[in-house]
Amino acid sequence: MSRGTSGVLECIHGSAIRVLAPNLWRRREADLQATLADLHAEARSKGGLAAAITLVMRECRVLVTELLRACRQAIIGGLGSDLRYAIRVLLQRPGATAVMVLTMALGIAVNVTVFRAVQQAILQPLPFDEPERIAILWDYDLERGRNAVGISTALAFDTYRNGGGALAEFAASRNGTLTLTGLERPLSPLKTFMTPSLHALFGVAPILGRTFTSEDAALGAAPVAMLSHELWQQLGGDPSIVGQPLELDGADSTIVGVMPAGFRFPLGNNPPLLWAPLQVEDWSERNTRNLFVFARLNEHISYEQFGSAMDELGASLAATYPDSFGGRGVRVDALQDRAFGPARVPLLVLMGAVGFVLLIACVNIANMQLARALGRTRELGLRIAIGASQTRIVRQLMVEALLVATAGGGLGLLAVLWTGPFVDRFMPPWASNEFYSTGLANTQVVIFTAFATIGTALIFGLAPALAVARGARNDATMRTSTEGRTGRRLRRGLTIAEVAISLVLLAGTGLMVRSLVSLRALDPGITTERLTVMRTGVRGDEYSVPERRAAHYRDVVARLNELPGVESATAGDRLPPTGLGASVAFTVSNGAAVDHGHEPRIGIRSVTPGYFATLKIEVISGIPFGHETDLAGEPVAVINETARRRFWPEADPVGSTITLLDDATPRRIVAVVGDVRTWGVPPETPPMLFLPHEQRAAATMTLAVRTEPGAAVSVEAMQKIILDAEPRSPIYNVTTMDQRIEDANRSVTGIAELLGWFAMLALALVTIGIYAIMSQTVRERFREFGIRMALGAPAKSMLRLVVRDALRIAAWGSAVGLVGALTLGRVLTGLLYDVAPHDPVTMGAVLLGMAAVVVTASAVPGLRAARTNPADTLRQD
Amino acid sequence: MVASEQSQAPLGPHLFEILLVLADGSAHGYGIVGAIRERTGSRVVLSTSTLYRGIERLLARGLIAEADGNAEDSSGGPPRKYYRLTSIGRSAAEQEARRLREVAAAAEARFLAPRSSR
Repeated sequence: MSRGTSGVLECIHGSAIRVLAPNLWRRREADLQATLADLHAEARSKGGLAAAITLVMRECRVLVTELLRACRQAIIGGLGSDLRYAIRVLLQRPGATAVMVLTMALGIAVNVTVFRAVQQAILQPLPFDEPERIAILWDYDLERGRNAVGISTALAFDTYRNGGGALAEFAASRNGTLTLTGLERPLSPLKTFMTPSLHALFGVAPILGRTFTSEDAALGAAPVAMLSHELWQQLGGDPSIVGQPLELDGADSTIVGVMPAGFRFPLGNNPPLLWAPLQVEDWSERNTRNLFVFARLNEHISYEQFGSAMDELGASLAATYPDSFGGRGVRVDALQDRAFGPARVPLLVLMGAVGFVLLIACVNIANMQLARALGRTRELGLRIAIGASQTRIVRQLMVEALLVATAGGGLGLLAVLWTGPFVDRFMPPWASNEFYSTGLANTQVVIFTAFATIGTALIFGLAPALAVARGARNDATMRTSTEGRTGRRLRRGLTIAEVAISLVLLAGTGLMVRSLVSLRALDPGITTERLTVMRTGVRGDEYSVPERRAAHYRDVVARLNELPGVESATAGDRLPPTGLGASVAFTVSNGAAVDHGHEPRIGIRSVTPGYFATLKIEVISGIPFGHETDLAGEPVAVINETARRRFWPEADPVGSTITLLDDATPRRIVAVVGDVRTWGVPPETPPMLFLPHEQRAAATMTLAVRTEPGAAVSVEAMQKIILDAEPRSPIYNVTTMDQRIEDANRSVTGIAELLGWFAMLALALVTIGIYAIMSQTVRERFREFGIRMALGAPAKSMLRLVVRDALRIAAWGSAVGLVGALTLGRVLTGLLYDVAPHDPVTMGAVLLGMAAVVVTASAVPGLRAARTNPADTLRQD
Repeated sequence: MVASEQSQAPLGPHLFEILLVLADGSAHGYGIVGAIRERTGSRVVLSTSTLYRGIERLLARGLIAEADGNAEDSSGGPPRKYYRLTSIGRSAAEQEARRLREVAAAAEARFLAPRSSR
């Protein structure tokens, strides 16, 4: 072994001791170096490199073992007595301790609550096998961008399946409703039709029976169905249910299997209760978009590879069938991203907001801890004087902090029982669904709470502990400093941070609220008051003829109209505020010219006469169809203002014809009506085409009944009319139009309202914080105030002094907070409507509000300062 | 008083080994490590940090002391510190040896004596 290598090893050996046992090294450096030199010289001469390495390795092992032992000793040794002492200290001032614990509990409770929503909506994996490999395919408009997605046609699905079979397995589904008859009261479960491959694709096996086979999906096959766990339980939970008949829409189906509890597909708010095989009559159908297409990517196939293969297939489709697929592309999303996409930003914003609340709570507790610990400087100094190390003092204070945090955390976890349902009220449906069904304490929640608790204890415990321990050492040695300057500076710093954090939160809330106000100010396009809404349907062979369906609804609407107290009634296959829904390509006789293959698409609604009058939708030109229209008559249609603007920018469309590509029937446009917008951000007014129900009768309709002002019409009376007309009709989603709009708005209003509550909480905590620090300052400067007043300063100037001091803190905090607020605004952009992320009005209002809070919170201590009696102060000296 | 009380405390094996080496005369750190290794046939090899932690504890208990300038060493390099046994150290080592002898005797009687079969 060369001298150089040996030298390096000796150096490493020395460094290891120096780093891992620094005190030993400091005390015996020369001796250690001499011995090391001897040992390495021996190793060099005898064993060579191996001996030298063994020497170093053994040293390191010994050093690390010793270090760990010392650490264990430092942490655990005497912990019991620290704990007992801490409990005694905390109980000495029960009021202050209670305030700290409650503040902490509040902070933890709101955090755990929102965390549970996040967990529900984002963290929990989809209930499928290897969900990250499941993709969902969309058809999108190349011109309008990747977000203009739609669902697929049978032909597209067939093309993907045949062309991409080497990369993935494919499956498709279609949603529908169907009525479970043969029960006491008809039950309308949501149903999903699925290709037999879909169950295999999700990798979830039924708990009873089997999944669908390709025979089940063949045209004309005997109808079969699979039940969800819920429906199975609803039907009695009979374990031998497989093979039994089930009356669906008046026809018998055979139950072939039951899925396990927790299997949800599709992932919407109302998971379907049963599944039926998807039977496709015509695989070359290319104009009706009604299929959701899924793919499970084969192993080693990346989303990029798969996406580019699908792009090619999409392009070939567009080339072959320009009239149906021209200008369309294929978009591939991981199902996971798609399912949780809309929830992510709002939930993370909320999580951030409650995180801020917790931080503010921490700052408050830190301030209280600091004030309390500073009062104990004498005692702590004494402990140092009789031999306690600074580490030991820090540990003592940290144990107190941890105790407070643990008590607060535990209490907070319990408080979720109350805060949970409260917060849940505001949660948009995608986050609140089954929100509290999984029990209070699941592992993730407990781990989250534990981390939050320990983290906050570190935040609010460590800084004061270090400052005080340093102060106590000075005190032990010199006994001069009373409440060290470090402590005061730290307290001011903490308060500045508190103001900054709450300002960010307030600004975010302000932006959301402004956005909400703008949204509410928009004209919905209908009059919502006194409108009762319910959905119903007719099923079975006798209703397979459109005339029969049309007659049924004509009858129901007429009878509803006759009901005393009813102003007017109508029905539509969908009612506002539902969005575009299915859309159909069309051509027009005298509109703007379009290239073949780039025909525009329009949303279709099938409505009964009186629809526009009942919902009070403005008629802009022409006269909407009335009761005289029927299937035999001339096909007519009504369009909305957006459709007119987009497709007839110049001419008046009334009188021109529109031809839907799906039935190729030319229809005369008889009227243009006002837009009814959808809700959410951003609100949309899609182009719509209204057809008389008589000419395109749907089986499932939503009824809208407007009552006369002051009249009380019972829902039961309305339902009785429906059931009298058809006893097998299911009736569901009974609500009011206002409620429907409120529900649709919930994703924005809920977040804004929750943010509002959290901001209020933060503001309350800040008020307490400012009040506490200013009171403390006034106590500290008691003598100074007395002297000032003795020298002739007016009492009012004392108040001014205190308030100005508080405003100075607030100004610093606001400056920092403003920077944060501007950053937050950018994050919120997607949730804002008609408000700039840096909206100066909001920012100004928030700053003013903060100033008002600071002035109020500091006025009380300020008044106390103003009441200082100079004589008292001077007498104290 | 304090020192004699401390000297009553049992000695760890490493400390006793160091005392054993110093019973033959003063030695420096490297010398102590080498002597222990030699005596035990490499069964006990002290790491440098263990050695000096042991030396510090023995010094604190007054069982050993730093020897005054011992110039016999001629290997060059930095000056080496020599350590010698104090009288307290010697009696502590004797006491430990007696204790070990008792332990060994008891162990011998129980484990190593020929067993009487019944």
